[in-house]
Amino acid sequence: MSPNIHPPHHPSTTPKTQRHADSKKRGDTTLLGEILLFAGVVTLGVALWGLSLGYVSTQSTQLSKEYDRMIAQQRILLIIEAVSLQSNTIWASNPGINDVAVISCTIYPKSHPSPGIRYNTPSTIIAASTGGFKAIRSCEKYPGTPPYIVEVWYIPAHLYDPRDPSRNVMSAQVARYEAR
Amino acid sequence: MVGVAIAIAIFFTTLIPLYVYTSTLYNLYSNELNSRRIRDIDRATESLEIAVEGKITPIPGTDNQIRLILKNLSPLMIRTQRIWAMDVERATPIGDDPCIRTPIDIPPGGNNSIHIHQCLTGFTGRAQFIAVTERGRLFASAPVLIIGGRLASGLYPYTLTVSIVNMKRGNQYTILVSPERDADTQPRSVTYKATASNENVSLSFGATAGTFRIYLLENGVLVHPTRLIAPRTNPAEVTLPDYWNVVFILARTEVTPLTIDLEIIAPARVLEGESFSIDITLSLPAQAGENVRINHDAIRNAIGLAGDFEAGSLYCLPLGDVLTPGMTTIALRCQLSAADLRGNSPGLITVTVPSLSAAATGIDSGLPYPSDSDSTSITVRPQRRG
Repeated sequence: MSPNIHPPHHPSTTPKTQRHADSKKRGDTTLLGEILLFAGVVTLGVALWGLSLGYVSTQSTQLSKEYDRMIAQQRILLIIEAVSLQSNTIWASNPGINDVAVISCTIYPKSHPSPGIRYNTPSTIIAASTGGFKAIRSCEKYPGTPPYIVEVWYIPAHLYDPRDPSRNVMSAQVARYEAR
Repeated sequence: MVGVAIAIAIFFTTLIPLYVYTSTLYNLYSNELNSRRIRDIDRATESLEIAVEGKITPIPGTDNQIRLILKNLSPLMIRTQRIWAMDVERATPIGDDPCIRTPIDIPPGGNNSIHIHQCLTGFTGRAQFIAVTERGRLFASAPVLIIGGRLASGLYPYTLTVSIVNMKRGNQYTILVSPERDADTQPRSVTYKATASNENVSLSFGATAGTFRIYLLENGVLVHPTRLIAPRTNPAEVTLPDYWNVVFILARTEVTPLTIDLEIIAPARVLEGESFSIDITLSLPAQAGENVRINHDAIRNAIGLAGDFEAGSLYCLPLGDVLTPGMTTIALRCQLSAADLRGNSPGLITVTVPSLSAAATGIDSGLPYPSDSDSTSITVRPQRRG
């Protein structure tokens, strides 16, 4: 800056007024900063809140599903009442609280190992606690000598997903019967 | 302050509800576990005794009553949803349907009596009754014999005995009992396969008083009376209770000893000083009429050795004991050592078993069974010496 150039002089402004003006300028800046800070905190807080709600919502849904599966497994029960080794038919009833879906029915000699889940009875639903029973025909029978084990795998009906056998297996339970 | 307020808001609107929700789910699950445990304990506590009771009426067409007595031995009320009547022999429900479909309540310590003869009309065989309870337990009665829809236990006061003498080995003999008029018997037929020549068997049948015709079949064909020494007719007729025994005597089949095929199995070549095994096998022709017991000592004593073997090195172990017709077995397994040749020229061992008059003995007849002779030669090769 050149030494001949002076700042403009304002005859009406006293040093006190000058200080006040300077102070007001600083106050404006502080207020703006506070507003910005407030807005930032609120924005971040709302975002965090939203994220938390999303997380809680997701967790709740997963927990609900998991507990639903666990509770349903406690509520199902299937019993094999009678078996015909002539026609490979079984008669089963459901004294449990939830409906069940039968996913596998096998008849194998007791001396052989279990063939496991065979997915050979698609979507056979047995209603709960109606006092009735249902015939499951054409169970898969393995050759051999008696006695035979009849093995029926079932899951809670509302968890049955025909497109996802591996997930069905996770909720499956077994009922067995010895036929001579 | 705003941050704190938001943090508190997040805490109260997300974490607390999540905690409360999780706790509620866990409580629900715990309640369900408890309920299941109570249901399982109740199921395990159920105890039902099932007995079959009937009025025994030997005359067909008369009053016929078969009842199930259900006795609740548990401290809980038991409701049977269904009762199945199972055909034990065929492992299938009689009529492919439950016998009783109406729920039956039985108080703790109480009895209940149910008529079930309607499920067994015309049924013959062993039946078992299975009750299914509302809680999902199965209780079964002991199997009972039902004949023509009637309870058979204790039905027959007499025993009809049928004997067959001098059966031919391998043949199947069937006795058919045909009751006349009101007479009844159980079973109506029995099939027996003779496992030895001239075998005898006696069979018993529960019967009421009355007249019966007894048929003897051999391999499904009625035996002609000319083949019988006694009685003169087939079928024979008996009337209980005065006559209770029938004896079919078939012409005796002569057992002729056949020659057993004896074979020596030994290696073709052995090295000098080497120990090797020799098997003596016996084959009994399929036409033989009985099983035979091998005379190991006779065969062992008949083994003849010649040539380059080490003297005193023969040691035989008996293996097979009994030969059935058509069977081949190793009778003896012998160990022998070849001699040390002390030279370059090969040696020879000759093993011979001559014809034996009693290589085995018939188990039924006690007759001696001869065997043919056999011999084999074994080349002994010298070992290369360094």
